Amino acid sequence: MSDGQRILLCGVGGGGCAMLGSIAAGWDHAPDCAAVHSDVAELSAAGVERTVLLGGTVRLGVSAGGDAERGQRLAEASETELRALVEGRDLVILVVALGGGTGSGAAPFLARMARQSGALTLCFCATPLRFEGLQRQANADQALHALRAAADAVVVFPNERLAEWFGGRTAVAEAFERINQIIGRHVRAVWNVLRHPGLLRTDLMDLRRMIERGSGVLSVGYGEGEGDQRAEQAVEALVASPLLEGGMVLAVSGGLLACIVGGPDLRLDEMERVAEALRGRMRPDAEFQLGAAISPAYAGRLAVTLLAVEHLAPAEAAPAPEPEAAAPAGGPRPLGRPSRPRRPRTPQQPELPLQELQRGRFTNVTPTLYEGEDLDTPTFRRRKIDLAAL
Amino acid sequence: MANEPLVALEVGTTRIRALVGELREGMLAVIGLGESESAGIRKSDVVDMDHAVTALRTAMEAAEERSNVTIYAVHLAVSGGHVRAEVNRGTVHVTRKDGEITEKEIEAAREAARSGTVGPDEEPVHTLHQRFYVDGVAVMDPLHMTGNRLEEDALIIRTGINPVVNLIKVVETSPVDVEDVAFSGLCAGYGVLTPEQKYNGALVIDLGGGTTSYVVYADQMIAHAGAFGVGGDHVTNDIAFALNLPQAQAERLKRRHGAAVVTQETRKLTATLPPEGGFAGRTVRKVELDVVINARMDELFRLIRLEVERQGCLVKLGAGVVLTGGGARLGGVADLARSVFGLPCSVGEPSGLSGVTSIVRGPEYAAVVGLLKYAYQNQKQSSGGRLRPSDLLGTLFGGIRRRGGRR
Repeated sequence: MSDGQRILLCGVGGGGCAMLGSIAAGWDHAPDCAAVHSDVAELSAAGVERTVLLGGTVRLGVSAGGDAERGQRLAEASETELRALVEGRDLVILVVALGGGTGSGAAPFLARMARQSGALTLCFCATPLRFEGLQRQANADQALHALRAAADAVVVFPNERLAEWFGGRTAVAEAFERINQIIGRHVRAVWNVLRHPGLLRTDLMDLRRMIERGSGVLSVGYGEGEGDQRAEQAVEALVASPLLEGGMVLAVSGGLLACIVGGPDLRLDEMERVAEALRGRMRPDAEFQLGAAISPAYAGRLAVTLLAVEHLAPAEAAPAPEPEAAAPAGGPRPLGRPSRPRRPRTPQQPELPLQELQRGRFTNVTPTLYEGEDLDTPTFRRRKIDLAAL
Repeated sequence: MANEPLVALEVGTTRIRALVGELREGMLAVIGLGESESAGIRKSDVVDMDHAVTALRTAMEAAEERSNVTIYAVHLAVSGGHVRAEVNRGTVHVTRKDGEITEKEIEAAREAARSGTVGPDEEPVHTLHQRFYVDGVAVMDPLHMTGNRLEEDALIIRTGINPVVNLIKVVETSPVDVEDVAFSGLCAGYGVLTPEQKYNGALVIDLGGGTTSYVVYADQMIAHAGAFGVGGDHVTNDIAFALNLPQAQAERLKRRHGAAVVTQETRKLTATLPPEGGFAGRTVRKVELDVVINARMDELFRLIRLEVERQGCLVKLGAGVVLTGGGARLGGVADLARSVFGLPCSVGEPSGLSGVTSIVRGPEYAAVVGLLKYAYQNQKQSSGGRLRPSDLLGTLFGGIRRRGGRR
């Protein structure tokens, strides 16, 4: 397999296929893309060549009708094809919208398969908007729970938060498109971290090591800047990204990996400024890795991508790589694949990751609930106040 | 009952206060105060009995020393998110042939008002008379009037049983008897309001460490009361999370530099915590600190405002809002309350006592001073007055009486 083929970007389910369509559109150096779904029409709308129509011999070509169990059965029926899709990969990124049937049911199945075959498996999931109703929310919660156990890390895009970002008066179709674009930017940003050969190389191994020591939730942020102050601008924009909770994530994370991408005009002092600006917002004891890469497409711009895990388990000695019995003979292996400790990870709490909160001084005290809201949770958080932007 | 001292005890989440007073020349005089850091209490509930007893003993011993008395019994202030208040109407039909309303009917109406709204885990602490009606017509004093039906509207303030029983246990373990129990929000009102304020209508908010209590005077009576399990500790906790500080440092920062409102000036300032113990010191942007505080206090005031509005009382607060409790010392808190309630707002000072009043200066003493006044009123009236301003507790707490000193 060539370098590009060791990475797979896969949209699962209706929402996932739509997102993939947005992400892949006009992306020159995209990795291998595939779409997985049970509905023929939506599958072709993803606009990618490689597709898997779920259902096996039960190939009805229609959706799973919002039933996640059915989604899973459909995936199981196509096990052979799905395995062929993920085998031999170093990195599999799944993109899925949770709440319905196919995505919620098939994604955990596919994630588990990818992880078992040795790939670092990341899942970018969108969760439903509030008006979509309690049933979809419940489905999404359950699917997220399953995904956290099945994948190496999940990056959650709560659509409700993203929609707040651009206000309630946006037309529905436009809102969904903009959400897809935001998710697309994040996926591309992560890809940038890994793909561009660079001055300071952060590669898949660094990401993998950080994720394996994490608790299964990955936060992603992305920011860009132009002009004299582009280093500071990019960091400001990064801190303001919707998933970083106004910089909160930076302030509490134990492990962070950042990548600067700039054009041939990227200067050393700009990289220092980015590092300074980021360090100032982190925990003093956080483990921070910085990578940088040059791309002609970024002339005049500077982009910073950040990946963060909140809780970082202490580093253990890396297991010695075993010779890979099934490795393709003679093929180059630039991204490295040591044997991985098969540590089954059971999520500690079933709640959506962004709502997990240590209770501080109210640990072991009956919560104060008012009309369904937990008043012990900090008010500034519930009101989504962005402190760093003040 | 000669010069037996009265003792008001407040066992809060942050501080314990025991205030000793006695009757002198016909007036209630403060003779001593004992205070200590509280322990084992969270959101006004006992979570660690031993720590609470130890902290209580410190305060009691200090009180005894300062006032030169031995304390055998106290009046106890209680609060917590479990406190509820509701107006209940008790109805009694006059069965006497001549239709005259006697004390018997009045007692019965009161009893009817008291019971009925109380849940299985609750106990009524106060039955606050609001109005009498004789055959549907509001009257001041129905005694000796003629009618078929007597009704009384009373505000019943009730608490959860368990939290109060646990608190009483802590006090009895120290060992001291509990004579009576009162809601600290009500006490805060007694502590700071003038008769004019009570007449014109006022909302008193007691900003404690674990709980925020409030009482509403409107239409010349106590119209509503309540409490939220949110207090100064929540402000500290929010700061600790926002600025990634240990709890103790967050508390320091709040007390030294915190403010409840943000101005243009705030954005230019920083706040510095010097090193202490294992803490290396930190400088933060004041705007971040104050925005976090503002969010929490704003939310708290809005919750109270909502409750007061629901009872139709917001429009009746002629004297506006009075803030008491340790939280009233927060910079800008009166300004914030003013903007949330749209009413005049001030920080309350205890009043109405003689003696060594200098030791109880400050809004944090409102409840304990009010409790002392309240205890004194009870004492005056317990010898025969028929309209007791409050209830001694019902059968559950009924075993609480003076049992004689034991030390």
